[in-house]
Amino acid sequence: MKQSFRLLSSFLVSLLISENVFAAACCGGGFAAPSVIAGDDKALLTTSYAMTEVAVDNVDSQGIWRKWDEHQKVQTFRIEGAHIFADRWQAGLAIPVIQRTHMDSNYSGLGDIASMIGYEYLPDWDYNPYRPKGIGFLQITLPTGKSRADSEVGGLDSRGNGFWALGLGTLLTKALGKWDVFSSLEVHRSFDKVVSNSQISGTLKPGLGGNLGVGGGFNSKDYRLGSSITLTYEDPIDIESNQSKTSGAAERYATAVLSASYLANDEWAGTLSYSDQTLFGSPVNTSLGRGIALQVQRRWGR
Amino acid sequence: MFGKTLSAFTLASSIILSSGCAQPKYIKGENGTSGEQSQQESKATCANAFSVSGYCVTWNWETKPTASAMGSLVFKTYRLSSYDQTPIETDAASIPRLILWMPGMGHGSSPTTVTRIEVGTYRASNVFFIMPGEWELKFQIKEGSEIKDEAVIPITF
Repeated sequence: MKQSFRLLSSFLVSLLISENVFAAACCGGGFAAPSVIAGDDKALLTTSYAMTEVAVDNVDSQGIWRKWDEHQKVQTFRIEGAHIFADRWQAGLAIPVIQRTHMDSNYSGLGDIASMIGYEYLPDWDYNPYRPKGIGFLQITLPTGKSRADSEVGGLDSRGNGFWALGLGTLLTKALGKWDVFSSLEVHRSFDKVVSNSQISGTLKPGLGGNLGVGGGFNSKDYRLGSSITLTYEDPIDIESNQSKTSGAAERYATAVLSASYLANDEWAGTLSYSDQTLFGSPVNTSLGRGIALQVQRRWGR
Repeated sequence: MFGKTLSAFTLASSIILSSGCAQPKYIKGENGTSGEQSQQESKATCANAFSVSGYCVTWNWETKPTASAMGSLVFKTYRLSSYDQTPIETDAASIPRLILWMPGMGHGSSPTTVTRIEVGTYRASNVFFIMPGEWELKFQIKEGSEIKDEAVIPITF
């Protein structure tokens, strides 16, 4: 059971950090939480590499899918860490670097940096057969990545949401023999921002957004096979200026993930995952991608 | 053992993943051409107009952009004669700018270049849509960073 928890923890980190999960493929960035220690570790350091290709360039407000022959490719390198302090408290930080490529154009740079404080509000000290383990977290996202609205090349050089954002979330996990299940919920509020470039001039007024994920896996010796689905929603981003107000449009999509994890020893684990945004849900006002990601994690026990 | 494991995993995954499958509604693209939507020149009924001056705007493709190549369009600004409603081409207060904006996605495209051809007639070059979908052609009169007048025309590309 303890082994399955370690593998689950590793995968959950992969799930929660993956830009593939929480971002529309074409542009901008997602609201991905930094690593959350869901197992019995004291600290962890994770590096990951993800490659995503835009499969559907645009799903419009009516749910019509459109695609061309040439697609964007997005590569994300991410490093993050988390550390336990004061027994049930933890803090984490995630730093992504993103590169977008489209035909002959290539843009790269820092994405949105995310910081997190978490608390294990539902500990699993007595391994209750029914009660899950619960971790709540507060997340602050720094607008260090250029947003879509800031971009003057159609979002190609965008690497983040571009807003200060505050989020609350929770992760529930449960091991059931060789199986494990989890659910995650996160809601965030982004804050207004003034922008002025050749495309637009005014105040961007975002709203609320959130992610809801469920999944599970099977553990056998040092291996885990898992799957999950995450639903993502973002409020419209309106643009206000002295002369006018332009209404944005809500964004919605679902990301399915299949993963395989390997626990080499108590200190090292790796996860390979495949994500696909074209399979589920009723997406609107977004682009959809498919990608693979490789994550290597170093862990320190308590 | 492995077979039972694989079967169990497949069953569990199927249960989770079989709900809410996406139902894509594709439109056959012409790989960047304007496709089924009409971009015909508007009649002299002032279907599109600047919000402040009331000047009318019509436009048509000079060279249609594609998924990989820029294009250009020609647009005219005019007013309707108070006598018989015939169009009278008129220069805007300054050379209008053309902004390509995708309202559903919250981003624009690469900047266009607008030059005056003759009275009330302009060419916008470097017109390129980064992706297919619902776009807006925003014809703007600006003073510095302030928009003084604007006409917005929705198109589907």
